Amino acid sequence: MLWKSVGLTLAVVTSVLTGSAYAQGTDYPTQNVRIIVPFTPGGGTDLTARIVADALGKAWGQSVIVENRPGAASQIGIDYVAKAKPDGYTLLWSSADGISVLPAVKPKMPYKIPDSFEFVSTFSSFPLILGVYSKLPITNMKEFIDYAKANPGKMHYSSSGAGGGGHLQPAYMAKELGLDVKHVPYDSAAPATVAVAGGHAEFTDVAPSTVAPYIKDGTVRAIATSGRNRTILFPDVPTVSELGYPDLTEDFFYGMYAPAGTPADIVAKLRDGVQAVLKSPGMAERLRALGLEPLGLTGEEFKAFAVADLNRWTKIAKAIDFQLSGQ
Amino acid sequence: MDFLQSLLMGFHVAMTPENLMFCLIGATVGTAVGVLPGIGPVTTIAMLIPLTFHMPAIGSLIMLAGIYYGANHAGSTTAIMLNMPGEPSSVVVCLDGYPLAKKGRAGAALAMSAISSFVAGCVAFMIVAALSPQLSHIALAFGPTEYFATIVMALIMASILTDDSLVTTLGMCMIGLLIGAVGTDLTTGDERYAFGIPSLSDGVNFVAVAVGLYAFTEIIEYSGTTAIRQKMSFSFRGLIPSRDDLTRSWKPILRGTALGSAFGIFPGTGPMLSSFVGYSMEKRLAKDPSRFGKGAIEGVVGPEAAANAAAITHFIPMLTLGIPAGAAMAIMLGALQIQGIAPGPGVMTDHPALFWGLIASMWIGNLMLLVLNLPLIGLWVRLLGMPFHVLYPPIIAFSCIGVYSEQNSYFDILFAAGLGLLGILFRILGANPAPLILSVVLEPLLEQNFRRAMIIGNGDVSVFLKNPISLGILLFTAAVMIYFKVKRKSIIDDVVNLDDKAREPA
Repeated sequence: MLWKSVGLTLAVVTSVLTGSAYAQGTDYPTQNVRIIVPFTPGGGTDLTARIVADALGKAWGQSVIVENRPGAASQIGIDYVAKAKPDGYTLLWSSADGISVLPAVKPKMPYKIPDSFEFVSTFSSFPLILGVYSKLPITNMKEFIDYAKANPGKMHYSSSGAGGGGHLQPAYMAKELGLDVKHVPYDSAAPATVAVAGGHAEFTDVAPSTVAPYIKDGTVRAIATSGRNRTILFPDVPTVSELGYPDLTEDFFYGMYAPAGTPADIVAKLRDGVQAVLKSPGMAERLRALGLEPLGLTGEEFKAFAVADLNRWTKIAKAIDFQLSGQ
Repeated sequence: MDFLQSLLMGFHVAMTPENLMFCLIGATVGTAVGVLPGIGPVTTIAMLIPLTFHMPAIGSLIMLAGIYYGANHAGSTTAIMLNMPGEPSSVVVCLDGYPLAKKGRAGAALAMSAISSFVAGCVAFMIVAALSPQLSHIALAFGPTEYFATIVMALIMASILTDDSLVTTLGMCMIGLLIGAVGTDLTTGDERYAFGIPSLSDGVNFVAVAVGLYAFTEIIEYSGTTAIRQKMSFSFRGLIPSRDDLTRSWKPILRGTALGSAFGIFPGTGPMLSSFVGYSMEKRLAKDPSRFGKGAIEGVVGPEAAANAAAITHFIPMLTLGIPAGAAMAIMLGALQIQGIAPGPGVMTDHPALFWGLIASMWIGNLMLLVLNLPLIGLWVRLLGMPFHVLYPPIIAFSCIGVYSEQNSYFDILFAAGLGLLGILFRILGANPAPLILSVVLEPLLEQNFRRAMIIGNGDVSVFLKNPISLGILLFTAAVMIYFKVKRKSIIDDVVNLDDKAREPA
């Protein structure tokens, strides 16, 4: 008993004295690492998390487990990590939704961006594609605006949910362009896209991978992409910036976060791990097949990117006067 | 014929030793998770996703699909044996399956349910194979107005489900709709009835509702009785379905299959709804509806066939429209995407080997399930001989794991426990919880589609009558109601006449 406590004390003292060096290199991780995904399994956030968790687990020889904690537009899972012990064993894998969109439209948030997290690394990004019902006489942005102006109040856009990017982005566009259009919310991107393919709504703003099959079979026509660059899936579709609306530029991102206060060397090891997965052979092609563009921002750069995005959505939420209630 | 050639190619793909093995693994795992109450295919499929990274696309999809329909297939086992549905879609099977088991005919009920699942699987497989391209167009034509009408039809048909009075049934429906309304308002994003509890902000966990109202209620009620519950009798003669069972069953099986195949095509409806409507249809069509709820074999095979047919035709909206019908399907879609296959209208033309291979594997999988399940029946029936104080603790444990794993939320377990107490109240009042469960599931669909239709129609309710498809569905619903009302009267007349005759002196 005595020897045990002496040993323990020694261990604690050594770890305090050697500080960061103690956890460096092979030490972390010494137990299972949990990556919290704040959505149900199957979506883009979950899939990218599982790709990374699988690769990290192999590289480290430790189990890296993806745990889904969905709810309240990803707020529940994100808050869970924000309040977790900052020891590197509970991490967050999130889309931009709960990081930069939700805090912009919800007045009371249980966590703070950027203060609640260490920004480990982004992994990939995707734009929103403005898709219209193909039976409408709309083939480009100008025709889109003309048609909407000629039919005020008669155009509807389907979205993946109220208060998300798929709702705010087109609402902001309508405001900027002076269009009178109506919002029809769906519960995720796939049914919102099918609503346009079936002509039940006139247009939508969704991720490239969701809309690609419908663009291919001709039921939906792509008009513009919100990305900084054109997407490889649709090289002919112009960016909003090219069309003269740089304010509408938006790239959503997936990335890894650790609770604020996680030791810097653990964050560094995580960052290197995610970067290695991102640069592994074939990964870029694999991501592009999912409609994602590799994006490897880390640390301060990542933080600045996320904060700028949050500021953009805050500005948009004010401009269109949209706010969510609730806890 | 082009279709036969495609199908033949599908069987070539599905019959490779590797794919046969994946199919067997899927069917076996599916059976296991289907039997355990609470633990469902969702968690299992999510856990297996990383495994599929290193598997060929077709093999992984065959395996995951096997888990999905295997679980649907096996979910009725505990419903029949213990009055605890293994999967939400087998809630209805409790109504007559459990009374059958109490009569010592659990074996026959299980065998008939396995046979009806197989027949339904075969027919639905043919429908998927022959009609997929056309059917996906139908689903595309369905907008908010059409969905609203379909759900109204389903709710009305299913609400004439139990023996309870109309007031009780409608009351249970209303409670169900209110519970279903908990969560975030789709249009405004406001939270309703969530009381600041984060787990409720996206609505109630449906598995928690089913486990609470069935498994927990059953266990609480048992623990409240001081007398040791009578052991259920079983005989080997009870294992084998009688000729009477078969003659009674073949029509309900075919009707259920047709119904389930049709409902499965539309995203959002699916196995659970099909089994409810299948049950109420059988009860309405029966010569003697009073047998239902007391162990009518038609009340087991009809909904079972409907649920399994729907589980298979449900792959049509998933593969051709990319709309997952439920959580399990959503994860399968993810697995597809990770393999670089975008679900949607292109799947059939761009990946014919995958599409037809999967479809062929479903038929093979159904055959495997039949072979797997029939010999197990003896084992399940023997389980009934186990004292409940040995059987129930592990069931509580598995139920809690299952409920927790849906959203990794402790609140959901407490919520299920609370519903267990509510279930006791319902039993005391003699109200059947089945309509409540269906309403919980359908409320979001009903409300969301109604509101979407209202937005698109500028708030004019007449959109439902102006739209030809929704008008047709609503007229059909009205016709069915009138028909059954007349029929019901004639049944009552018969009974009255019989009574009169009986009173006459001989």
